[in-house]
Amino acid sequence: MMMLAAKNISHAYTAGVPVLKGISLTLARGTILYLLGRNGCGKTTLMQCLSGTLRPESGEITFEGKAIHAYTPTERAQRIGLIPQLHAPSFAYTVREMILMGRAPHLGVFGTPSKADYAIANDALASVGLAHYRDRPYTQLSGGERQLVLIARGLAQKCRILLMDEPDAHLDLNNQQRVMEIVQQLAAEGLSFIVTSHVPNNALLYAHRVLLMKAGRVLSDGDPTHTLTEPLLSDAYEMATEVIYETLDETRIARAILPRRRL
Amino acid sequence: MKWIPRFSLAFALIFSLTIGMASAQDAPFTVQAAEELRPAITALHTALYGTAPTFVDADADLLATNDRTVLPSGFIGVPPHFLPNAFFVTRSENAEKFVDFAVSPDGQQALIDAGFLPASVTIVDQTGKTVEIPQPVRRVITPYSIATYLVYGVGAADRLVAGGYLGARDPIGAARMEAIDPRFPELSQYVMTQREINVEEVAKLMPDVIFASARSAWLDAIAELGIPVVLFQGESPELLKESMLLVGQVFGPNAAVHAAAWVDYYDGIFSRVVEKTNDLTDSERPRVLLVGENALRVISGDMYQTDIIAAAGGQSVSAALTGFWNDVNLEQVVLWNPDVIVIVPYGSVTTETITGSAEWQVISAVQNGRVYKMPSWVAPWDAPVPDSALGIIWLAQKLFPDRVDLQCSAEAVTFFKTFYGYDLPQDDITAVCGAS
Amino acid sequence: MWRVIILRRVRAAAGVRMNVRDAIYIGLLSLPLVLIIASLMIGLYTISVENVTRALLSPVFPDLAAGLTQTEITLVQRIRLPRVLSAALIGATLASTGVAFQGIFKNPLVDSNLLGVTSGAGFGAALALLLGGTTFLVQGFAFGFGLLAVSLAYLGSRLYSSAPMIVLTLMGILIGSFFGSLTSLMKYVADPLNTLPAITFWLLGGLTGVTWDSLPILAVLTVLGGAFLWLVRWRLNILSLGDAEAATLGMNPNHLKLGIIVCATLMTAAAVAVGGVIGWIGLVIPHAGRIIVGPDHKRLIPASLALGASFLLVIDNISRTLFPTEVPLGILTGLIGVPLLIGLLRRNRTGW
Repeated sequence: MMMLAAKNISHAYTAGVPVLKGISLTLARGTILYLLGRNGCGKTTLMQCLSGTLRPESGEITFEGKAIHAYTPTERAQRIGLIPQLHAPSFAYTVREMILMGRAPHLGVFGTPSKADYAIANDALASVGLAHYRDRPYTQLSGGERQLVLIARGLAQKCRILLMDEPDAHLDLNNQQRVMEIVQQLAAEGLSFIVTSHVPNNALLYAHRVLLMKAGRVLSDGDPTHTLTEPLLSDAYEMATEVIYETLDETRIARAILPRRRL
Repeated sequence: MKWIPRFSLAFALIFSLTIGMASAQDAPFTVQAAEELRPAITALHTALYGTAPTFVDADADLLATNDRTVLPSGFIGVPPHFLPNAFFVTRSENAEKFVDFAVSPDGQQALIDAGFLPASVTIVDQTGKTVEIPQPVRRVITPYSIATYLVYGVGAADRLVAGGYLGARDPIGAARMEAIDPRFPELSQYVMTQREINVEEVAKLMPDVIFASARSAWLDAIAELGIPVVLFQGESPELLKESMLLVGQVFGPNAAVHAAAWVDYYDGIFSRVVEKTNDLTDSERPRVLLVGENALRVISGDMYQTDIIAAAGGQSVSAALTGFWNDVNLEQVVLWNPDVIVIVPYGSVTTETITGSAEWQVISAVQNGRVYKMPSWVAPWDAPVPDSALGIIWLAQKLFPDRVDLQCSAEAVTFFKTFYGYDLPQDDITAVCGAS
Repeated sequence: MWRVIILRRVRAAAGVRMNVRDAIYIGLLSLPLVLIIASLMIGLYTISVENVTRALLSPVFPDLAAGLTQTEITLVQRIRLPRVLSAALIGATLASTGVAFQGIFKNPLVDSNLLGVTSGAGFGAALALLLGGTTFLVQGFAFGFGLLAVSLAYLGSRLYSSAPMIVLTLMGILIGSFFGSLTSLMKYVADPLNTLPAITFWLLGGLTGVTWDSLPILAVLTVLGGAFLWLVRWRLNILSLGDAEAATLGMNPNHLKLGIIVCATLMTAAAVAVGGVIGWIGLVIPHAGRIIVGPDHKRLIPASLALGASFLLVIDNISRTLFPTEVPLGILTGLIGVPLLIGLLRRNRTGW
């Protein structure tokens, strides 16, 4: 059974202008799924639907066979986490305070974190390799470190699926790799990820599956070797693209996706 | 024979405008006057009727004199002065119009034209500024609600065209003021305070002179109009007396005599209290706390109210404070521990506010039942207005019920008759002054 | 090798620092109690520490009243005690509601007047003073108009459903300015000799006339409201991240925010009704709190309650004992608080 399944979901913010037009997808345990597509193709709306914070007009999303709106918001948050794009909060919370906020769905409205919650937060922090940053102000971290802290918050939240909104935006190559290697590690341990990105090369590097979107529809969904092809990418991005391959031991491996230069 | 003391000048301006038409029907009257007064009277009569008056040596309808002994016993007030040292006594209704004219701006003009009065007066106001004011002054505005009452006090209210009225905002005060002067609603319709004035409105009102507070915010703007401005700052008895005399000078002989009469009256009250209490040492004088619109808002030593307390024979406990109203806490009141607490006439604080409060029970004044609310008619008796003479009388009576024989209600009747030309309703003023 | 040693040292230093922070936190929480007791001992009228203590305990142990004058008993029980308690409650209220508003509006530059409660209350009080009002009327009007202003802002924001928090903030600012103008109108028409100084003094804040009569509503609302803020304090962390993030953490932010706004508004209206407009505390005490205990609302709410109470106690002690005349609190809070805060900022150059 799939952990997360979306069936034929459609949504429009303004009547008559649909943003999602019958999207279906499934997500298995331990999978990194990349959502690729042009600006405005519906990636963010789809993420909001999948996280349960936006209810699509039609279609059905289930988590472990049960409609996600049948879960309470708290129950949903215990299962699905969303890592927003990088931002600076208004107040300089410490790294540990940020991570502890992931415990919110596990505490009552009047609750405050207990010793056990602190231990969970410390473990989560260790999982992303930032244990020594515990008391540092979150606002003083680099972009990559902040991204890792937000992942750790998702771990503390004990979710099974983490939705990441453009984790590679604003990060240098080194930090992109640092974040995504942790994501790969966590996926190997059974966590699932849905990642939106504008860097198709990262999908080449890290995706288990890629879903190409165009104008609110699924263009292609499957193994990266089948989806990250010149015709499909050119269609998705509405421009001529080029995939550079390398052959190793008689296996052709895609190494880079580039725009085809206009002369 | 009917005695009609004339000192209320309300509507004199309107009379003087209609005089031209009325003169033909005026009944003739005879005048008795000393030789040296006759030219001035002739000038007035000629200006009004175009003819010389008929002088007689006895049984005249009109007597011109400077001898107060000719006034009948029981006369209250100041007789109408057409020259600084001469007034009229009317013995026939036929002469009334002439007397009104003699003390009106038109009469003043006639006397100026004939050389009996100066064409302008030069005064030094209370900021030390020399102001020359052409005579006569027909129109005055008082954007200083204390100065308005100075004008009433010298009997020149007919010259007011606009002013602020202290204590006349509430319905009771307004009704009383309208009874004193039917023009009150018209005169008080303008926005005219120390902070706010409409310069164009002032220009439209065409005043001959403006009476203002030295602390007015708009003096520079008004100066552009080129109208003489007389500035006052009356937070002491001496300054108040000086204010009255200045106002008297501005309006000519009749007003000047009224002002002098008020100063005499005011000084008289001071000396009558001193006479009864001068054997007291400072420590024997009642220690008075005067509170304002809030039981814990008290006067400073710089305020006129401190002088009122002293004039009534007491001493203000808050005299060491400076500035204007001061907010204090009850611990400070306990430290002062006043013998008497006086509440200003305005505001919501009543004697029950203080006597009914559990916290104030530790104060001597409350324990001894000596908490009083000062009465007032229109203008508050604790402010530097002519009526404050009554505030002193009332307070002296409260401080020294055994020594001071001044009766608030009787004095108030005399005061209003003399200076406002108004007959106070006896029952009402007795209620206001309270049982002695 | 080196790295390990350095890491150990850092950890050891961090451990020590945490202990110092805990000690400061606990000390801060007990500060109001110490200051309340100290404040009862001082006043313009000199009463010995022993007599103050006896006067305070005499309702429970009547024997202790022997030898005390009625004046001493009245001053301690009926003047100092209600005043000191109201100073503590009002200070705690203004500071903690400031923290709460800064948290839910994600903006460290606002206080609980953001939605116009203080402006509304100021107008209510000015109107009551103009009508020649008694203390009761002034407090009632201030409280009523404070609530009215926030209700108007809230109802106004409901007209637009697209961006409720921004529209609510805008409405609050608009309603606040509207009542500010009405207050100016009251001052404009007020008698400059008597009523105007009374309005001005009220608008600068003061506890001059506080007695037990003023205390019940203030105490009930601020204690209940303070308790609510205390209970939801950790949730403020999550609200301060914004609606979208709070939603992904399983919260419906709107319900809790509305609860906090209602609660903070009631508390502030009650505080302003009794103490007048005491500016500055709600804006700056939260920052002082952040400098001392950090931004985590789990500690910041208790710390701001304590810090606000302590600060206003000290300020009010100065106001009532420095001169025979009361110095308006709104003047002292700025004059004393600003240098204090700048000093704190210089010593702790951490981020917000």
